Amino acid sequence: MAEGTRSEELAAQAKFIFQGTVRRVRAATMREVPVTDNTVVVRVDRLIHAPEALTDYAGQEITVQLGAGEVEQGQTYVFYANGWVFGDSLAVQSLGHEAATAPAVARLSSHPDDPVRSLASHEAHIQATQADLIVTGHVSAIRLPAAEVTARTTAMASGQTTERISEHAPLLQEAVIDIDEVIKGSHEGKQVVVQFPTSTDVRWYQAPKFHTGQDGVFLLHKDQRDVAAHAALAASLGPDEYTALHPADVQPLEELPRIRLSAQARIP
Amino acid sequence: MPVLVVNMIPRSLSRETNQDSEPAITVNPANPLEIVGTAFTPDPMGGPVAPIFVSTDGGNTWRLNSIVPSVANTTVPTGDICLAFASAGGNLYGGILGQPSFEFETLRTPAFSNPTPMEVLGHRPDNDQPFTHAITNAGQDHVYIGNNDFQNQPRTATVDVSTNANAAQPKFQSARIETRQTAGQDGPQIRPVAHADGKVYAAFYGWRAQSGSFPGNTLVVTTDVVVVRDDQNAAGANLFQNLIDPADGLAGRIVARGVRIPFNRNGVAATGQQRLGGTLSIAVDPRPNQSNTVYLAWADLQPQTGHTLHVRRSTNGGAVWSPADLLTIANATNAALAINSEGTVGLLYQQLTGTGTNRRWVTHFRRTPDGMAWSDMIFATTPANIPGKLFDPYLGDYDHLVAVDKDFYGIFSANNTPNLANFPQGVKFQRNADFNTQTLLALDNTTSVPVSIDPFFFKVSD
Repeated sequence: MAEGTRSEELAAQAKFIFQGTVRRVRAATMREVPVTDNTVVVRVDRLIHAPEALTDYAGQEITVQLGAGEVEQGQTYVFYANGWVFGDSLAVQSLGHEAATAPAVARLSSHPDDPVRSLASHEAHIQATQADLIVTGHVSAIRLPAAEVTARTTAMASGQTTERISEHAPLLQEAVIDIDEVIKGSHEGKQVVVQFPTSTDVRWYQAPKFHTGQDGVFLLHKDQRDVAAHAALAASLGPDEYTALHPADVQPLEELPRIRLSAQARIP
Repeated sequence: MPVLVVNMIPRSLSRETNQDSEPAITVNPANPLEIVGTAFTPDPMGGPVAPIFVSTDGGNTWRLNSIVPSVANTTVPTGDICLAFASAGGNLYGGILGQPSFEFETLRTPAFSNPTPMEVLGHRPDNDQPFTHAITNAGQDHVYIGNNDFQNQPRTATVDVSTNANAAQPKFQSARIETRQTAGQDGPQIRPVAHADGKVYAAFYGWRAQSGSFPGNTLVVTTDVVVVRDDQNAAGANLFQNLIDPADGLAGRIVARGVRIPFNRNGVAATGQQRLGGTLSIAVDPRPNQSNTVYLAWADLQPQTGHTLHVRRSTNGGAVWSPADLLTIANATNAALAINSEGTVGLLYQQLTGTGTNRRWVTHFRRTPDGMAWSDMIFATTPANIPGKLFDPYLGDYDHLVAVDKDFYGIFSANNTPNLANFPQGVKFQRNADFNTQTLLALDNTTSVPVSIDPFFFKVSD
């Protein structure tokens, strides 16, 4: 398997990618982590992809539970990791690692000095590869789906509901996007309809909220099973309607060149 | 009376700013040093498993262990989550609304502090607010998970029951506990509790009518507060039929009839950013021969005192309840009851005080030996307008209290400003903080970190 391909696959699964030097083998930085042949202490030399809450780990020693492959004490690697134990120190589970060559690091660093933006760009890349339709344009109208209007009217009139009243209900609306350009996929007509949850419940709060006049690059999906309960939305999704539930599904226009490249990439 | 209050966010996450709301807690009765907490806390790295808070030293220190099955790249790693230890053997059980579909999942692990993800025992869609209670009888783990099952509309109040949950292939059945007509569904709070002698109670809001609009944030529900009981561990047929209401002859004693509650889609400034929708808690006296003593707390909407808590008691298994409140609390929510091994009752709740920008969330813990004289201890008094809400619920649709032996263990969510004046019983922070400047600090102990909502653990020992 080509090295770049393996890196892409690991990067698609890992949320914490860093360059680090193995300081001690069969060791841990916290007593709660059982020491095994696969636990090593690594000094984080450089963050490549990281969420905001973990951006001050450069220079810190952390515990890494190794995935496939061995490491040598004193050697530097790129680790592809996810979280494990967060206590007085940090322990991560490595999905894999590779030698920390300059090309390997550069390939992962869309924003070399900003691991948070690099992670965000990577998530946008994944969303773009999975999108069914990518367009640029602007939101010309927001409206209630017809089914939602009927349900609300019925509930108000009868004092009862035939659909659930739940704090996790999406409270759908439709955004009508006037299309400037189709970047990926095919679409008839100059407009596309996106159903989106207006709910601020924990289930939906991170899903993009659309508003009239908004412009950008819109990464649209027919099936976002991996993001949320597709059934909650699919029942009312028309043949030419889409969802955009992941925070990375709406991008500013300045990201268009990067999205255009991602749209041509294969699904990792 | 020793009191311990701990901010549960570990030092390694000193930079985090999540809204860690809707907390729940469980203590291993076989080893009370082992405690597990949960909240709307994402995996800090956004990975494919969601975390639980773990303590193995009685709540003095906490760490996150990511073992709740989820999927990567979701925006929220798990929805509602409530776990419970069995009373022997150390098995940890739970009900969650799991990702990616928010399906109701039943979980189990024999080793909560290991990295192995919890086992999924079962799952089904269209559900809400699983709330877990577990007890061990004759070597069998009995697990009761209250849940609002929309697959059974219009009678949605349900308790999923297993009386062999520690078996290799445990069997769960869904006990439908609503026997009356509803307004299309019941409320999401279905709260089970069990006694070692085999009595199992559950409380729920039986929704009878509605007015206003949920999307418009004006919905008001007319509801009964109902208690059901099963006298044989909920192990046979015809579950939860042992408590009959004398008015209509149906199973389920109506403790409060036709009360009104708001059911908010979102919190607003006037509600301290917290969405309100009722609150419900039930506790049984765990002492031998005391299983007929039950305390119940609920909220309704009162013209003068807003979202108002009521506490009442039954001493005959739920058949007759105290005719008047033992305790009434104005403008409050998140009631959580527990009874310790001496019969002392504990009540945790969060009360909104003040007006305008002076509104504060005040977290109380009250105790009574007899239902009449209540002590009062304030764990936190924090601004209700700071930080701004990231999502609903701001503090949670519930908090949680349990008792093991004589000790009470609880969990609540609150503004995490490191200001000792906000924590009258004292507080211990694990995350970096400067109490002199009242500033949260990042891992470097220099960079300031914005205020957010954190989970707080407390233990009150007699």
